Amino acid sequence: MKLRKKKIYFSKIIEILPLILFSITIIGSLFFLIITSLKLQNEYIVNKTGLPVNITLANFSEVISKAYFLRWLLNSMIITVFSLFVGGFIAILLSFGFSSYKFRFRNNAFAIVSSLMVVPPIVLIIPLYKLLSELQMVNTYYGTISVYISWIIPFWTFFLAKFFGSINKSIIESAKIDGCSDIKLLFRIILPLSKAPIMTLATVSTLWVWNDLLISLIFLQKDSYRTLMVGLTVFKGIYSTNVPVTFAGLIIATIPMLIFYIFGQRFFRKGVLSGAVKE
Amino acid sequence: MKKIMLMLLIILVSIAMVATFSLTGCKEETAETTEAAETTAVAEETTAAETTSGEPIKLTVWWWGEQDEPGIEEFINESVDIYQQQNPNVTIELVLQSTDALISAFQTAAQSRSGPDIQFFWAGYLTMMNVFNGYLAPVSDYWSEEDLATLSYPEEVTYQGKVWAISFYNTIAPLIYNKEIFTQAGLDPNTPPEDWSAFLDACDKIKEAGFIPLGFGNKAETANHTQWVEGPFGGQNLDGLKDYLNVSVGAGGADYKDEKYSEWWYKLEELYQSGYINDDINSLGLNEAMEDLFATGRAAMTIAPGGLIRNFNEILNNNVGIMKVPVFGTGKAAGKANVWRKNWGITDWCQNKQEAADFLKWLASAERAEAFYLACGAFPGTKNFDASIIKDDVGNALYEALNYSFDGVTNVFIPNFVDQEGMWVASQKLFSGEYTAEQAVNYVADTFVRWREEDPEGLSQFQSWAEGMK
Amino acid sequence: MVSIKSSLMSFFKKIYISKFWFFIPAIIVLGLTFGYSIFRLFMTSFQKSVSGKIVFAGLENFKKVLSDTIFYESIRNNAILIAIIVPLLIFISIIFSITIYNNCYGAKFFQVLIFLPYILSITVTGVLFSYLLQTNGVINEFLRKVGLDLLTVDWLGNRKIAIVTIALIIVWKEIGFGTILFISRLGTLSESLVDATKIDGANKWQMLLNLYIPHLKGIIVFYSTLIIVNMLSWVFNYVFVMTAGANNTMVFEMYVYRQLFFYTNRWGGSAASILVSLVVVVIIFLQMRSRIGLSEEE
Repeated sequence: MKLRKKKIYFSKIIEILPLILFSITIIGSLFFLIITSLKLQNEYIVNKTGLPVNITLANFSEVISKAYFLRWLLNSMIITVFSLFVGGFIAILLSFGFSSYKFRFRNNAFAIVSSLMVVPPIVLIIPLYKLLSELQMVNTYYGTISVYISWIIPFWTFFLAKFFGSINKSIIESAKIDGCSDIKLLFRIILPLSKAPIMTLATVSTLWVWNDLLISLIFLQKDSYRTLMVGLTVFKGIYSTNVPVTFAGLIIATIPMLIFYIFGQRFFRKGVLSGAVKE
Repeated sequence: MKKIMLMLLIILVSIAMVATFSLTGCKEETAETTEAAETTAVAEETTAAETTSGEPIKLTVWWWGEQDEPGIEEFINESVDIYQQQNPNVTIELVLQSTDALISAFQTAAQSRSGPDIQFFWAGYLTMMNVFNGYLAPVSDYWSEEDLATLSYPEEVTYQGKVWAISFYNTIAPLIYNKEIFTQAGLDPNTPPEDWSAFLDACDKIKEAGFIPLGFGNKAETANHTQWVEGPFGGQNLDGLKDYLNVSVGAGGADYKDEKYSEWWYKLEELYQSGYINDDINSLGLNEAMEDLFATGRAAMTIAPGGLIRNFNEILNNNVGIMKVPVFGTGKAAGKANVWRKNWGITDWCQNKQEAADFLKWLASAERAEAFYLACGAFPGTKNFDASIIKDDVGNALYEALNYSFDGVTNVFIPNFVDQEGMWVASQKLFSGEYTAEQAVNYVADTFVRWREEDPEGLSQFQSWAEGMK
Repeated sequence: MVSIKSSLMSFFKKIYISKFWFFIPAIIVLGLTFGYSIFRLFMTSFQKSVSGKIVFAGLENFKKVLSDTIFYESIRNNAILIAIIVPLLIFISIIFSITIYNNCYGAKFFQVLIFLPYILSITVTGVLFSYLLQTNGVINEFLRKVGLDLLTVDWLGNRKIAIVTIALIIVWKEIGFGTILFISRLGTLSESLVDATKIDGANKWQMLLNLYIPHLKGIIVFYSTLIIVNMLSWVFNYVFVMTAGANNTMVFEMYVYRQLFFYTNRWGGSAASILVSLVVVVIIFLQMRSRIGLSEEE
């Protein structure tokens, strides 16, 4: 008996070796990130990898005291939340439409919509800018959100339409027999069953919008309208990057997403447990 | 769970909605433009007086520079406040752009002919390309002859007989050296080498003493780093920037392979092969190299911009000296370091060009020039600047270097394309050992030819630009 | 005779309750943004500027792009990235997720930790790693100390491996998501099935091949699609921050970016964008058509 226990013990260590290695890289990187943010620029220049001799929170306070810091935070939140909800909502409607309504060009239409998701935003940035400036929507929340929505919709639709279509037909049939209207069907029955893929898509999209630089940079030009990420990276110079301050700022920018993750983790696991994409 | 989620949802959405409505009330904002908090009082005065004197005018300024020389932001905010106070009908909105997006943000807006009224540009071609594309209005239409005479180097931005930009400030990037290391290597810390053989000799001694002679970072990043050596070394056989324009367009049969233009590649190769340059040059970023090698006392020399030199001097206990570029060439530009001018331009779609020009003229006044220097330690680009206010040694040495190198040659007078695709690629290959100097030269020469073929539009503009130069 | 009013009313009612409405918001948004932009882009790619005027340029822009070696280099790099990253991500996610699912030591700890890189913004990751990976930087120093001198290379500067380095960094960052996704899916395995398999004396490999992987099949496809989409369009941020496309790491988006903003050669940028996007979109389009899940039993 004792011998057997030892064997199991050893092999279990072996099996988590890759995980351990990987974790070391993560912890190492984060450690470096944090200790750097605790040094002043001049100390960082001469002591890049060691522990800070003079621990200071000055970098963090410098970031927070930037005139529009709170505004940026708010902007990011507004834009992310609205892009997600409006974009997700439209996508859900569209997916439902595709999955439940057979019409002649359905396959082609679906294929077109879905393939839009691979178009890199940069390709369209100039015509989009022209469009928005003609509509007077540059420097507005609406304009920027519209751009984000445009990428969220094809992305969500591709996965959700398929998922909706794979939901057990009998449930839908019985609901219809009970006289359930389309909208009720969608919101009362289909959506609750789709928590899993929606949570997944929401996670990906939220992180994308929150961390995005390109679109926010181009369409939100006033300092007070900027998103957090953009606001923080403005201070990266050509040759005089103040790395400690930049890192401090980026740590701060990551915190909301961290909170989102910790909070959403429970949902994520619970929701996704009901089965991700069905085969 | 459901309830909590629902509640969270409602809270989030309501915060968002409240915020949205309160922040995006009206799109046309007149009062919510200046940045510093102390100006609320001034702002109130301004809005009150706005309707009485003259038509209200709004100027949007997209600028850059705080990343370059910390302190400029303070200067500019203060300047805008004062100007708005003195001119109550003018409202100025400032937007600081990020380094990576300065050009792309402007280009995107410019293509819809919308965007700022006043735009900040980096020197040379990076300013001129906008002139060529019709994005800028000529300053000489709005400034008098006298005013134009205060510009420090209008030649750089003259095209078709007009001056197209106003110099904001100048960055000097001289060769600096560590006096302490020089002493340890047996060199006189007060007389750095002035010609090439003395330079090589010094490098040798420094290497013997266990230090890196020249520290530099050429890593691939968004900006081309070869430019830092391109001017001081590349221009040695040239007389001025017109020569550089000429080789770009091939005027009078000018060929890059000619030693006049390309000797420096062989010199770089010499440095590299003698081990006088750090071996990880291709993996260090520009400022990383300056910091990791020079500021830590491992490298004896490097090329650094004025703004950082003060920092380094502090870190190294006043042991930083500024030297002339060692001379091996015979042109007038030999020995001159990089000077990059930062320019203001008035956009073509600006509705209030004269007012914009007036603001810029005021910004270049003697009083403002002094305030600029005091705020950030960099040198304003107007001749109205009175250098007697420079009190410290480093400042004076820098100013001297600036004046000496003023009409030197820098990378901004060749097409961007050749700069990035030609020079930079070639230098990286040279330092990785992949190319010999000869191959590098051929590669660059070919890139010039390619550019001429692929961009006939650009070629004719450069030709015009070159012809207009003295 | 059916009154006009009632037939009108039933007509409106039909529209009101028709599925048509589900499509409208999307059509408006997508039509405006994509529709208009693509149209504009299309037009631009056939134009060029001569002495400040915009003229028709035929296929000139396309020819220029197609004869640019860097264009091909960028496409090749996108392909390399996909080829390296997709298998790696899937493979490692499978291993990690199964290990954690089987409640190895510290499973909960790993589960939380692994996801952290995914939350970081690409800028942070890019700046962080471009610093750590210098020739004489932290990572190489460490390798030297443990005697792995052979591995110390110029990770981001060496033209041959820079793109691989970037691929590895992307894997590092993305692995958390895949792992969590797979773990969740494994969580739907019925306990009894797992136990039964174990009782039957199945060893690790058998369990892997016959139990876990088949169960994960659906989500592997899901995840692969996700990653490929990412690699086609979102790699830009990584490359931009770490190498700006130099050292053989030019990717398509970066190429377009350069053309548009650095060389004032926006015409070339448009043409390139159209070319590649068109090709990719068409490929995906065809894929969708032939494999569309919508047409199952309906």
